[in-house]
Amino acid sequence: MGRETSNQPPRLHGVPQRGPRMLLGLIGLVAALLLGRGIFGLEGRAVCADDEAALLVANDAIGWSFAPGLTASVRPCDLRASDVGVRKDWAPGLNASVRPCDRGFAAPLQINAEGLADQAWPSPPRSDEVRVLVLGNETADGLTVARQDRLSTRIALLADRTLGLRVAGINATIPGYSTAEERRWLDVLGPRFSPAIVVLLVDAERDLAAMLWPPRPKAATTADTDADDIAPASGLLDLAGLGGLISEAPILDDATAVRIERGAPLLDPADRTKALGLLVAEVRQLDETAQAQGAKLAILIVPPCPRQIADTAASDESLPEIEPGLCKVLEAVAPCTNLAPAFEDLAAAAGGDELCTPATNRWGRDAHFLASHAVWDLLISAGLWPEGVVRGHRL
Amino acid sequence: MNLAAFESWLVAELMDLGNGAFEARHSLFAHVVLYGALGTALGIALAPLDRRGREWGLAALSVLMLGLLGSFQIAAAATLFSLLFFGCIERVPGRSGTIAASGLAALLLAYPAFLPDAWLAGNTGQMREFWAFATNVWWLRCVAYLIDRHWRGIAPRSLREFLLATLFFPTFVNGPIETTEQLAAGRFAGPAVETWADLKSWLRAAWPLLGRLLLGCSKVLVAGFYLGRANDLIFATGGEAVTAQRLWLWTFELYFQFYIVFSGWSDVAIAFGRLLGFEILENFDRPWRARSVAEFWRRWHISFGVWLRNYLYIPLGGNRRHGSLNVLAVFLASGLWHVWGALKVLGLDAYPPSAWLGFVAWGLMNGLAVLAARWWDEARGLDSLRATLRLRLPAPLRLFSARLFAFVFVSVAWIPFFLPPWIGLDKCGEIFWRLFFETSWRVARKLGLPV
Repeated sequence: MGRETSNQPPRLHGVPQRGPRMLLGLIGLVAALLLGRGIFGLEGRAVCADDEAALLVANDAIGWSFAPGLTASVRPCDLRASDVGVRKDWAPGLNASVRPCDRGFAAPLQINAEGLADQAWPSPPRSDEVRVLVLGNETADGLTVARQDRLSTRIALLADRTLGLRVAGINATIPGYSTAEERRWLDVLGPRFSPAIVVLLVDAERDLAAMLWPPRPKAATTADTDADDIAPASGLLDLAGLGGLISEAPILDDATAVRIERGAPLLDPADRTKALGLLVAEVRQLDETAQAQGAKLAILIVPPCPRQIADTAASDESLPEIEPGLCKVLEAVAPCTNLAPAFEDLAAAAGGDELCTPATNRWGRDAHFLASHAVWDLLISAGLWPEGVVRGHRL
Repeated sequence: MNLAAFESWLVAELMDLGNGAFEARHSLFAHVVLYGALGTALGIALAPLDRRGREWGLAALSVLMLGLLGSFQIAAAATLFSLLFFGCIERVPGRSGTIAASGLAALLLAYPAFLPDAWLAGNTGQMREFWAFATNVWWLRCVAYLIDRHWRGIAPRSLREFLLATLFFPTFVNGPIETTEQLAAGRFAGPAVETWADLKSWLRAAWPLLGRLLLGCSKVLVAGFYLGRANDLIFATGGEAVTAQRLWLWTFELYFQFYIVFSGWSDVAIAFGRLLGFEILENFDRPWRARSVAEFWRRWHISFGVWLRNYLYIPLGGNRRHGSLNVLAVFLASGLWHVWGALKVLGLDAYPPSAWLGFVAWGLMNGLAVLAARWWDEARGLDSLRATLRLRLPAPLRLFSARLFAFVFVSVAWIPFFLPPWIGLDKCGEIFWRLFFETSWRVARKLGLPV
């Protein structure tokens, strides 16, 4: 266990000089600058999780998507905790102040060439691969959790690749999307991914409202973005911010960046009933689109974040309850399960602190975890998994 | 498989590997390598300073690295804790200083209970892992300094040397676990070149270290992609889901997976440390060449073994007093040290006391094996048997058998070590049963023996 000495430079005799040390110091400094630049390239600029203008771009074929090729570090938006209009809009009657972000996060984000928050996917798939395409909005896009905790990744990880076929989970969730945009996306880009199963995440309140007030992309400019205002989530030196400053990289492309304008929540019972009919028709069309691509559809009713939205809607007796009965209605189209009871059970048992990422309208780790198991259970019970897929033994 | 199918398979595998490598850049290891490289480059940039200035600079860089890898609060807390700990030992006279420093060490053990979650927000998704590993190493270094000063009578070190040794960024996350004395004894001129010939010599020495850095990175990445894929399946089914041959192969795979990943981490730390002018202790010495379990532990995670020997085994009495109990105590302590690490990552809810049994069983198995080897070497009643074996068996065969036995035993003992917390220890028992008794039974049946 002796120390190795072979790497010690032999001390040569000679007159000590300052030059060699200065040169080596300079070499170190240049290497540090290059490495700092490289790390910035890998980590990307800090982007606020709810700052749509920094994340989304207009797309003629599908309306909007994530900015293809974007690399960023997604940070909390606690600076804007008082300016969470979207979430307040979405909590009818909610007067309580939105909980400030008391727990930081810094999740790496990489957008692929198709504008999805996911890895690159080869086309066509491997012969031993079953692809599950997850369609939804920002609630489940997983921007605020590590990639291995995301719903799509967890669906894939729950399969046992040593005994059966490999399962690939493709994260096609995009902020602001409702069922109509999801159907359009599946129609235009779905064939590129050859899915065997399409999992549609239905965010009841938002998807209903979108039936009458469809979300619209609105051009955004650098002035609209909050990227420069984000304080470092952690660390003495925020390399992502410093790197952006050094490289003077633009925060967003003013020509294509968009924010999404969403309609107000539906508070009129007649509107809600009408929207429900439209939603079912839209889901039916989506099922037909999936079938045309050789894929089977499964539906998951997803509780929104923050959870007050659901609580408040449910407590308003003047509104017909949509969420509990929605699955029964949609089951006429495709197998469906409602995730809300699992959320409630976890919240009752363990507080549910990690169900939503604080101060955002996105799921936290536990929600993705519960959803991945719910999807597997649904696909097994409905017999939608192709033969050869084996569930693994992991949590 | 025809050529087209092979080509398609190869393209898909390469794509997977590429995607995996791309995703792995967000792992804790990638962050340690990237920020470690940045810190090392900045450390080399300190070359024009004298030794004191360089070492203060490296200590400051280490705090900065804690901030980059962790958070501002963590860096501040770690620095404050180190200053307090050093102050208690060196500035508070007599027994009060020892009691205060021991209290601080105990506080560090209990910190997960009161550390605010927000402090663990960082630029890696594995912040809890980072801080769990780092505090495991940090605690050992602090306790070593306390024992060195108050019980071993070793001369004091300066605050600069203490801060640098306890927070040294190349080895902070996953070792090697160097104490203040070891780091100070291992320093050499490094980038403090004085002549042009020195500079040339330093640059020549840097190339193999960069090679070692790359080797370390490749080891961790490749082992992550290709090894351990069947772990969950085998643990969850108690080995029932695979054949006996596959089960044995998997047992050896566990050994190699751990060796490749862990030695990869050490390669990276050693390369960074040496580039900065510190001869970091080697952590592995070809462990597969061990002729006994005791020798294995002198070749595996050497820095931890040395720590346990110097700061636990010898103070307990070593071989002179209760030797066997001391051996068991050392391995039990090693198991509990790993439990402490896992507890910090998972929390008490996900890692209840029943889940700790994996590490405890692993420690006891190794401890008992070391005692059994001692008994075999020293028992007088076995003199004639040992002499007969020496006479009858050729030396190469004896050597091979001893190495094989040590290798197989250690591989099997890794099974409870890697037991996932959500799977009971009974599954380990099932795996052992299948490994030994079912296999033997099948072999015996094939040989036509009456079983």
